[in-house]
Amino acid sequence: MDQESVLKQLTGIFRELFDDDSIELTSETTAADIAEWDSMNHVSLIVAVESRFGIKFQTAEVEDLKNVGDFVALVLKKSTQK
Amino acid sequence: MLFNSFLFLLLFLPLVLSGYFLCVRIGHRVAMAWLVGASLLFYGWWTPAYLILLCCSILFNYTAGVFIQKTSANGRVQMIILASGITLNLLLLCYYKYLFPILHWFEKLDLYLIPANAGVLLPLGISFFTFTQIGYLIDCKAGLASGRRFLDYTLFVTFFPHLIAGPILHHREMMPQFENRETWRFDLNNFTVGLCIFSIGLAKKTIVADRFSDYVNTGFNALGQLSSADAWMTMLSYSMQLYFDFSGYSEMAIGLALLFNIRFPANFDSPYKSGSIIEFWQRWHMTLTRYLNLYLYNPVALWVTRLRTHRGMPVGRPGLKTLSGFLSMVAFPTVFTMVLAGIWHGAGLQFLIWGLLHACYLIINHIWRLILHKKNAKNSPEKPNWFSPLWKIAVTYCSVLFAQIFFRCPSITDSLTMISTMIGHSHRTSVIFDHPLLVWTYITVGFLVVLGTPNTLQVFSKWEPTLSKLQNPFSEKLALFQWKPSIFWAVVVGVVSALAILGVGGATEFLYFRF
Repeated sequence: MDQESVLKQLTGIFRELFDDDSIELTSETTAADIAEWDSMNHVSLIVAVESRFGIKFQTAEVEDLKNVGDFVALVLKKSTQK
Repeated sequence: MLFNSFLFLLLFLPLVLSGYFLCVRIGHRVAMAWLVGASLLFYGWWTPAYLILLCCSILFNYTAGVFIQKTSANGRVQMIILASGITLNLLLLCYYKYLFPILHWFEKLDLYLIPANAGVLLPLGISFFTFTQIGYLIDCKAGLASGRRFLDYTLFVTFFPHLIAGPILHHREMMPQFENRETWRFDLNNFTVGLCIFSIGLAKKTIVADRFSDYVNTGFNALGQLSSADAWMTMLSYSMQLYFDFSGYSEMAIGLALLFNIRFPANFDSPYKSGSIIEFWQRWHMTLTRYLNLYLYNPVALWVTRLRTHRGMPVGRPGLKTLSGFLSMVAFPTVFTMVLAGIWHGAGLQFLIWGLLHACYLIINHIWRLILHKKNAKNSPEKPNWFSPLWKIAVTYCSVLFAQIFFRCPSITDSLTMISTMIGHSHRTSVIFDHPLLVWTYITVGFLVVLGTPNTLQVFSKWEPTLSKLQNPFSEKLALFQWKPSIFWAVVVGVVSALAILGVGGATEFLYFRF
């Protein structure tokens, strides 16, 4: 699994969760760029990513993941640790 | 020792600073030890006996942290140590904060008789240092706090600018600063900016908050005899007092830390300019919001959402549109968090109501957002707007003000009296204030400053006085308000500090000292 494919899968998760097919993600996208990405949806996002990639985030890591680049990096790190 | 006392301003601070700059020449560990010593003296000055309590709490939590990290191979043992650590911290907090109020409650119901002379004095800052340390233990379990040295840890907990009333710090933002050698030196920019921010914070306290405090006390001392206008004056004054007192304190803390080249997170970002309750909590007592999010809201919301995913129920927007999804993923974690936030502020039922009110506000705000959901506008993502429409600000402020009635009144009965007086159920027309026009003038000026001028951290934002970025960084259009090292600003800050120091006389306590 590489950065490209994680990003692609994340885009799918975002579109499904936020009910919006126009979302395009890049590594630079942050919570401020996507109107729906607020604290209420953030937790759902974390859990959806967990179940798609079969990983588990620490509670303390949740707050760090407010931009897509960090998300991709942590997903890759956790997936290789498995 | 209070920040707004001559003892602190004219003796303690100059001595600690001179000692500090001597110590950094010898070595940074020496300077750290000096700051720990100074902080312990600062704390012990008030009640020496409680210094022992603070030291025991630090020793206990540091040791617990070490054991938690050493048992990482054995999950169950680790969990038991963490759980006992948290429990003991909470028991200590409960003993000092809640035991006697609860016993008094039982006494009123004729269930228990409190022995004469029984009672405890609340140790200053106990909830702040307990919270910081519980967070640390949880992070030890998560493997995020490895390699913390005892001296660093002690300084993190005791550092006098934040010890008594925050900002609530996180070890992950403080420890790297302590470890960085660049911190331990004299920096002219930080020193100047720190001193200016401290002076402005002091002025907010002694010139503004203490003035409103007189009106608030006059009003609450005559609670049953207020006219409607009196009640409004009292509550609006309280609202101003609370903001200027606590944000002034936070700025003094930020300024003091900066004298030692340490950066704190921001704690206030013009909260009364908020256009929604969710935004309000992102701008008011920001480090408490962050703490509650990290250690209460997120864990509960994660637990619920994982459970739903496990059972194949929808999450995210599709899930939130269902009643069960909204109740379990938003309403439940919100009520849980805000009720605990309420109780944290005190043992009375009125604090519980305050927490519940804010939980309701937040839930309504979330429903509102769900209904008004806009598709993502690709090119123009909606940025937080400095000029949120006035009505939104007004609705938000009134909701906050209403909750503040419960926050300030000593009991629910008094809160209800205040509310009924404010909505006109009072036959009195007389005014208890000697110069009502003056009170209204102060309130109006207060509002103009709070709503119409950039806040202190924005004024200094170019110099990055805090760790966190503000929601609304400084706009270039307001260049006049931007602090720079110039004669104009030297005069402004000089006059402000002179007035602030002249106002010190009364040396009244800060509102948040009792929490």
